[in-house]
Amino acid sequence: MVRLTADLIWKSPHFFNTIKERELDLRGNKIAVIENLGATEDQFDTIDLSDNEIVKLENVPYLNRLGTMLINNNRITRINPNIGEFLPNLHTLVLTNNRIVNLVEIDPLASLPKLHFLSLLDNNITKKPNYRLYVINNLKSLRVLDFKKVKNKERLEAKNLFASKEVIEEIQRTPAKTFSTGETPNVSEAIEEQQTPKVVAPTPEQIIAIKAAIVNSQTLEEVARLEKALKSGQLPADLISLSDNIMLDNVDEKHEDMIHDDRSQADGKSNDTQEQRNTDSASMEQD
Amino acid sequence: MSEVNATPEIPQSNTIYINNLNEKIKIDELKKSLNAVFTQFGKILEVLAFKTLKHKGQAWVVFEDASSASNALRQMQGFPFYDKPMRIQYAKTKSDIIAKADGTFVPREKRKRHDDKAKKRKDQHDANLAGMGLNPAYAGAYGAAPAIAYPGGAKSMVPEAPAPPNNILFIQNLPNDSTPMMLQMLFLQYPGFKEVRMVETKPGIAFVEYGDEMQSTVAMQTLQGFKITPQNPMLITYAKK
Repeated sequence: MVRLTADLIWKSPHFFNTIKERELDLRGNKIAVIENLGATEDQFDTIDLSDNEIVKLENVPYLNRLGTMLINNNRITRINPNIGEFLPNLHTLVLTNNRIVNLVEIDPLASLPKLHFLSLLDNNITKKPNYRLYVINNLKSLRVLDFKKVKNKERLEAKNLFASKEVIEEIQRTPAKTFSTGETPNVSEAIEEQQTPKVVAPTPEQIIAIKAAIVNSQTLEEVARLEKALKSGQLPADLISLSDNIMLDNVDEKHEDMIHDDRSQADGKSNDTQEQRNTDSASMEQD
Repeated sequence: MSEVNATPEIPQSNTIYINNLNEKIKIDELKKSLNAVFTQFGKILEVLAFKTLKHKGQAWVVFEDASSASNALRQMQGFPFYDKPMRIQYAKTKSDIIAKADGTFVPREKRKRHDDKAKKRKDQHDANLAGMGLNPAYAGAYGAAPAIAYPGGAKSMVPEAPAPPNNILFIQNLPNDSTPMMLQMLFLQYPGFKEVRMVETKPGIAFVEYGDEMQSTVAMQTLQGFKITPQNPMLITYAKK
């Protein structure tokens, strides 16, 4: 486990690569977290972060010149939703052999205004049905995906396929069970109001857990499922899935700057999680 | 089977040779894409691709490590790259960049290539020069005719009707000191020439005889308006029969 420091950046090879671009080679350093890239002083057209152990594509400073990122053979699972603000001229992104699993995890790439070339080879995402059409539909500026040109026929086909909202909801349902992104305040308020009159549950801890799950759910179907679980009395199975949600929600909430009340709730949740899963809490602390 | 035979014949190398590439891709984009697809196997030192007829649809990728080249060859064999399956093998010769690194680079080979290239350019330059040489003659011939024809015609053709074709040419407007030998030297260069006759009592005119009318016509058209001296352009017509 090596930290990406300014010293490491200065010691790494700087050169004009085979396609005549200024490149910084940070390959094979066992870097776990992207940080301190401001030390490059926006001097590079290409940054090569291959053969490291990066988990999340984040902490990128504003790099106006950067056009190519090579992140082969890492453990990328998530991408910062606002990455487009910091890399306005990024046109080539190579994420070969990483761990992107769900289709919604590439949605943040839509914020990159000039992304023309993308490689997601050897990720589990490529095995999802309609993977290629989903990516083409979301990333409008894309020209080459996985070393195949994006043709106009494919764009039209993708547009037709995702014209109905049902398909989109189906795709987004699967990741919602394992991971939730930011929610809108109106939805959360409405759900909270609905939940208040029906406070009937055996244990206060379970009440808190169910409330948190409902607050963080994205669709009405999720809320209906939780209510049905309460009525059917299948608490053990639900608790397992709920605890999974809690863990991921904590990770998500830590990365987002939430208000003070939510932070106190997060602290409580993290304590519960630590009691149940030591390994996960260790990895969370490292994050 | 043929592939199995082919593989052992080429020894392992830092460089892989790829063919059956999509030829519609521009060279810059091709290099960029090859760099992007092979960078997962190790550091790439060089990507070579050319658009000449002999090297279309082919490329060489030079890795820093031979093991990277081996992995690339094994894993990317047949990979659909821009809708065409790649065909990969080791390069037959050591790349220049590798030869320079380990000191076995031979400068003579490079100089020879350079000389051939320079020689090629010189030949092309000569060809251009030859092309330019043709223009002045043509322009001169074209420019001379209308300027001279008008005053000549106005001068003496009006009183007389033009003579019918004849194998004997009638030359007028000659300088007074011209001699038969001088005219013979001039008209001899055209086929069919027979003789020059000048009239002693009338300086400035002459008769030139050719074998037939076709030959005399050629000489007449070519030498019409020829200036033996700057102020004496020749006026040539067919002699009266």
